[in-house]
Amino acid sequence: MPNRKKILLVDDSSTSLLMTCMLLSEENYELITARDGVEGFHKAQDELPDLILLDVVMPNMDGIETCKVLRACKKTEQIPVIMITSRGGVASLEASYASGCNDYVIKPIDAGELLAKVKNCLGEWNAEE
Amino acid sequence: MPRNDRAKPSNPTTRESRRASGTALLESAAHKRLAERCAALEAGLQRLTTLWVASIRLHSSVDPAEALDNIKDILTTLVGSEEIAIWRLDQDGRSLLLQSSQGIDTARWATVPARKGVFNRVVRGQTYIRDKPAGTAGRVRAESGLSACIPLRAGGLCTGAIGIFGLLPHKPGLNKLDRALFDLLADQAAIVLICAGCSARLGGHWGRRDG
Repeated sequence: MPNRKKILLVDDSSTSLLMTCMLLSEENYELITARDGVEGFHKAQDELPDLILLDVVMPNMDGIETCKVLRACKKTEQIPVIMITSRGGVASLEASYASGCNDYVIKPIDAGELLAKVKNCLGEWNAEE
Repeated sequence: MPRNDRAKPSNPTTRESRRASGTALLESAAHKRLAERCAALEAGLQRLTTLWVASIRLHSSVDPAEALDNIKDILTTLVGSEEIAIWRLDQDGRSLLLQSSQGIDTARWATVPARKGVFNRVVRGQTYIRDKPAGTAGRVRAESGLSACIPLRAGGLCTGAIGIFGLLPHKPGLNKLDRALFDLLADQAAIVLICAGCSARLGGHWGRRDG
């Protein structure tokens, strides 16, 4: 059996974490969670996930700052990051991309959109799907 | 020239070509129907997943403050609103008293009359959903700014209400899934808050924490 892809979910909302876990659970990914940017950064260094889903609004260190820190660290600079945000405005999305994220998903999360972006970032996208 | 009533036999190549294109059309229509069915099933699955997540989160705490936070988290994450009020109905049923809120003017919404306008309908058990998103138009009334108001029902009685004011800017309006979530909250949130209140009065001496 091939190695399962590892995804780190960083979000301070238990509802959001549970929802994202449920949406991704059918895809046989290994899911790890963290409750804020600081914990997320430490787990990213320890676990070296294949992908990080990062909430923007969080205590301690928000998603934008966390993404900048991830990109500045040699161990984590190449890990794809999808930002999850409730702020759909242009300024917010520009700030997300400027921090180094690869893509973004707007809350409330649409299952199809999330799965498509996750697969795309993991290089699993199949045109027939 | 005499009219020939009998149809001319068609060219076999043309016949085959027509049959092939007919089959292709049928297959294409079948694929379209299948794709639509798959999309409907996926949407249904997401609806069920969302309701399951909301129910699990709603029942995840018997601490009164956590229970209120969970309701707000459900509305923020699954509906897409960051302007929320949770009121309880006072003992004589005349006023709704603010218990918890997020992103609103708390002084303005601290106490609202329960027997006027939209709130009168809500305390009678009906969910109010504004046709247009809040803030677009309409008369200035006590309930102006509300996108939705959900009764908190338990045992056939209304114990309070949840007000949802502005939606996130990218959310065009409330949809079928939001309405299903409102139904779930209307029927389950009051019982959760009552249980949390009882638990607080018992000082947590009604069970044992595992571990």
